[in-house]
Amino acid sequence: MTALPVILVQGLAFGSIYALGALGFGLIYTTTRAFHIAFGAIGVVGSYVVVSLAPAGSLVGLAGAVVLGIAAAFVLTVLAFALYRTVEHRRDGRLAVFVVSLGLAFAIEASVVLTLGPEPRAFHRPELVAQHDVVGLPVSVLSVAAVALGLGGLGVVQLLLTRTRWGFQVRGLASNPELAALVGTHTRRVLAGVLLLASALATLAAGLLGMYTSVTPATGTNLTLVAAVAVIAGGVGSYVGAYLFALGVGLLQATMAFVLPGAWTTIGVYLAILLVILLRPTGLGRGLTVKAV
Amino acid sequence: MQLVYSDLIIISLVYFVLAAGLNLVIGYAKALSIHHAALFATGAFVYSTFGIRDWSTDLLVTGAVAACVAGVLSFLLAMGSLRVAGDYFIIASFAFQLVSINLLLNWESVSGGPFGVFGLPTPTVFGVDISEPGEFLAVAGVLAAVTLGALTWLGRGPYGRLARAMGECESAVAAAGFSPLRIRTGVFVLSGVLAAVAGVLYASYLGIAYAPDYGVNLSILVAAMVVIGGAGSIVGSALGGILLAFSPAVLSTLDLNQAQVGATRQLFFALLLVAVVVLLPGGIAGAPVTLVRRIRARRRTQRPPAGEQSPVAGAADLQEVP
Repeated sequence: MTALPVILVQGLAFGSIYALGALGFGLIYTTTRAFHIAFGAIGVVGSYVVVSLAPAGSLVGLAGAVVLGIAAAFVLTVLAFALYRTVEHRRDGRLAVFVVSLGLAFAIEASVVLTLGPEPRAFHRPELVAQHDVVGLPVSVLSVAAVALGLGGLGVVQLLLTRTRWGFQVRGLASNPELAALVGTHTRRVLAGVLLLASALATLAAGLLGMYTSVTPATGTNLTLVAAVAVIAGGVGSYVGAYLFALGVGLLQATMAFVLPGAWTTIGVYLAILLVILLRPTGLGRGLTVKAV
Repeated sequence: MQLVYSDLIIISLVYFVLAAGLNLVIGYAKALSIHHAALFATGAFVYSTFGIRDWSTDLLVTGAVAACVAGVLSFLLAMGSLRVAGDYFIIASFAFQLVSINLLLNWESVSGGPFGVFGLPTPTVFGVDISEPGEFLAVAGVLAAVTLGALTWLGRGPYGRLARAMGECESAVAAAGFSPLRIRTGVFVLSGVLAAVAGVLYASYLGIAYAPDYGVNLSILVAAMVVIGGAGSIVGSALGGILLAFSPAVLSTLDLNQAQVGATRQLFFALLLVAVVVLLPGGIAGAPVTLVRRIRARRRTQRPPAGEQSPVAGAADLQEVP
């Protein structure tokens, strides 16, 4: 009976990290319809920058490192979108964007391996993962922080999109880019905001993943995959749906880690994802239906 | 030296069959598949399982079994995910590849886990042992020739025209009374069968079925080969296969360790892939056509015909408004 609290805490923490990724991927996907495969790989680069620059014991230094990490991720994201823009108007533009994005993710991953090596990196701080017993739940500072950041991320994204002028313009851009441009939206500026927010979310998600377990150059692909599934199965355009689906993936993973031996967890999680796509392709939540393109 | 060249040629031929199969999916159906390595692995591990357990070492028998397994897997995946938009398909494809590779890495009684299955018996065809490089070369050559012939014949025939038309405009094909789902499924099954047969030959030639070889990276490399060579062109697949097979030999002349060789190859092909998609949409095989078209377009813009404006150019201008 000790299993349930552990599963709950681990699941919610991991789910919240995935949710941060899903929010970032969802922002980009909903606004531009670009399937940004390089999303996770870029987040991993951002998190590596933060960890290698952050000085020990200085909060100001940490904040500076976070800003630089997000800036690095943002530069890569803008570069990716500049490339998408050159190919997306072609007749088979969607396939071309896929391929370019896949190539970028692959190139970023290889560059990380060449500069830092293929080993997994853990951004551990023992005091953050030490477990405390709070009302029967084995929580750590990190797990609480992850859940809080996940909820906070959802709140920030929702508020920005529904309550600000920029959010209004983002939604306009998502539903009709030509019309948005005609009514005077600075589409590039609005898009830059989306890319910046998404880069920050990707960096945060990858960094938290590294603090929890470890990050390898290949982690990015997995982050993209879970984020993409959450966005599409959660219902495109519904950030709450994506958030809940990501939490579900986290809980499923924690449960499987408990009942299945070691490496079979990964198989179980991806098999479940595969089954969701094959059996319930229209999404589990409400939100905009996915149009066949 | 003789042996090394025959080695490279055999591997090139295997990669050609692999790329030609994926070319059907990327070039014809215009879907990006990232699970081709898993189908390739199906062939390799069917051969290793049959060989180690003394069931059969006949390439035709193991090839047929592998083709059936991969065909059924492709069919199921196609039925489930092709009904929906391309974005689902890429996730399903990714998830399938990850499930497969993790299954192979952990299912030790079949795949030997992360250590692979070593010392596979030499294959036979109709009871004749295939053990010399020359004999493997002959088998690989026949397989590649059959693939080339079959795909060329199919590509020019009504089925190939339909498949290509479906990649261009699915609703037009549906309106003409054909089922896009059925065409797509057919394309996917054929592609999976080719990958599995190539996998049987690959594992029987190397004498090893080593699970880590069949990861996402191989899938992406083969997809890169198809696009770099020229999506939709069988010549492009051949060029891609040769490029992929020769690259480790070229890289091994540099002074790098194992991980660096893999990463350098990955970086090289990834950058080449992006460059080709952005600059040479037809790939290397389509480069002459692309270049001629570009030169003609430049001439046209330099000397615009008097009093006449091209409607296409006008449309392009409209799209440029940010």
